[in-house]
Amino acid sequence: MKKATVTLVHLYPKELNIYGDTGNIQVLKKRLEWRGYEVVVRQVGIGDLIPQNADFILVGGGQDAAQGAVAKDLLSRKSEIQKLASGGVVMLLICGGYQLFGRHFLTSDGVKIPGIGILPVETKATSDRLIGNIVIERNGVQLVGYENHSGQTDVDDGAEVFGSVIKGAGNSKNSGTEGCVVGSVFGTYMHGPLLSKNPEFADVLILRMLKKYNVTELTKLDDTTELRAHKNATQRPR
Amino acid sequence: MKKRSSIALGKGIYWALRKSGRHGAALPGLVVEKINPDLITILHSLPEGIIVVSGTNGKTTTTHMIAYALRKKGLRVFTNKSGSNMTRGLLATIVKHASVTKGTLPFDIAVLEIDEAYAAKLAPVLRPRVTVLTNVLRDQLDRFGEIDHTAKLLGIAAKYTTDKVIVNAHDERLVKYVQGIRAAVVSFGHVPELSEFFPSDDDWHTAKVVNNYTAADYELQSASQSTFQIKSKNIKWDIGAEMAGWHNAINMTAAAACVHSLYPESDPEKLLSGVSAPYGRGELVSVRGCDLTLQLVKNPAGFRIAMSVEQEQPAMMVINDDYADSRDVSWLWDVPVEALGDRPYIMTTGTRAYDMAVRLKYADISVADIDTDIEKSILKFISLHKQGVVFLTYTAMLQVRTMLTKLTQGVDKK
Repeated sequence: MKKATVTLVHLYPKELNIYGDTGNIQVLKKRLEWRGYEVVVRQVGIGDLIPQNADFILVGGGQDAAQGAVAKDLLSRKSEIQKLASGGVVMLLICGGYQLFGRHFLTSDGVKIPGIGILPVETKATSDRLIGNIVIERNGVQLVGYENHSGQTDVDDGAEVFGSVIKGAGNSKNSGTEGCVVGSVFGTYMHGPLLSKNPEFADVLILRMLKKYNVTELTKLDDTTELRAHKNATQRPR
Repeated sequence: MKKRSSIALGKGIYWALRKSGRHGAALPGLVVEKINPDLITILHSLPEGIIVVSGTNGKTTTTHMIAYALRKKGLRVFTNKSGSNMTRGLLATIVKHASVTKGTLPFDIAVLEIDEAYAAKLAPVLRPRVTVLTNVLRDQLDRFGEIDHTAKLLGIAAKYTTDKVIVNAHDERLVKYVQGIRAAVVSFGHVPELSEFFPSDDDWHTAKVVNNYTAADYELQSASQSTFQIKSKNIKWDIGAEMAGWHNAINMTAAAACVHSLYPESDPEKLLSGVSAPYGRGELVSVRGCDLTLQLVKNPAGFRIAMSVEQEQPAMMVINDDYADSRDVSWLWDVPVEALGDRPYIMTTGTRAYDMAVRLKYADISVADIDTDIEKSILKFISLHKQGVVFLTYTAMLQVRTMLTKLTQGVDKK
């Protein structure tokens, strides 16, 4: 039987593009291709249409200058993205992308920039920059990455967080939590790129994407190099 | 009086540091910055003025080339090292070379490499005669990150320049910010046939190639590892110099544009021929029968350009994650590693050897050896190969240089 063709969407690749987050797309693409799936990558910019058959959407972090235009465009897609999310499309939102998927971002001048509210979080600008290597634990598995943000995020009580912080800051200076998850929508501050050194989590995302094609198990890949990179990164100073 | 006393104090600290066996450049600058930051204006006493070189990539090499040419022209050139390209380092360099008894700086002209974040701050104080702007590219993520902001800072530096601003014609952001300034704008670049070797930062960041070529006053026509052909209007120069890479060819063009537009009667071919690459910028080093080209890599754009060098040769990538390298190694994923070409052998090392290896793996590039131990890796590399290219982040370059010096005599070309 022919395997499914998987469509990966990189939303705002041009506007939010300076932290290597695009590497997450490359990791997913390769891990799917190595298992025999065909992969189509679509770059969707401001004003472009999101393909209806999207299986995955990535929004990365970027320059402050681009954030305003992106926020406006994203708001105009609110109901569309909500529909995609409830339809099981897997979304990975990093840093700026994570903040924009929350309810709002409060700037240092007290201006409230509305987000699309898919994640039950609110972010405010602070003068503290949370920067450095970060290690978290999610469902008993350690994830490693690099955080670099001055926005601090409050997650609603009772909402699911992405993980608990072992080293670093995460959502905010003293929260001890990192990111937020609703269904298959994952918001996080972790660059790295996140999936490059956390192959197990990359496969969690892939399995979620393939659920609609009735795939319940993935063939094993040789992750020796990725796991060494993971281990090595967890041992680097903050 | 204050001038002389602060020079004396700074020199005293240098002396004390040397006595205690240390070579710190930071402390004298730090102290002078506190007690007499105005000492920097002593540079205005130089009769031929101040040349400032700034931009993301190519600062060190271009500064080095201009200083070399002007010395050959017979000028006494005051210049700073790449590690001293901010206010403090500049003050330290002044203290080191100034005369205490006279309170003067015995030079004709200054050629200064200035960090792009400091260019706007220092320009109103320095009021340079010439400013050379190499390019604005995405730098280490946790240092700047904002490329438009950097271009704006360099635009401010251009505004305070009195005579000439030498600008990269193919860098749209820079060109935009030097409009309407009082200095004459002189551009450098390459002929359209060479465009494929100089993709702009946006070309590969946005995956769409923008083909709006702009002609320049000084243009690179061709380059080999030992000759650079540069033309301006009807004149053509064949500059002979041993250094690798297209980026050095464009630095050479910027240097020729600077020297020739400032001294129109001078001959850049004569003045620039024979210049060698500074420390790790396409520098060629021979160690135990292995010829190595050292390529410092600081950001995705520089890395991409550096990868085009000697594509048939084996490569070693030394990636560290100290502050001067960028603590965040995410930037490796913004490097279009496909540009490495079809090399017979690739090794990765440094504190982030495995990050680099993963990056290459996901681009279908196989890595023969991965080891975080740099010394062990170098020894293995030079025992396996007769030649190779070494790509290094900043602290990796310092470490590797020290190791190579240990391994062989005569590494330092004098």
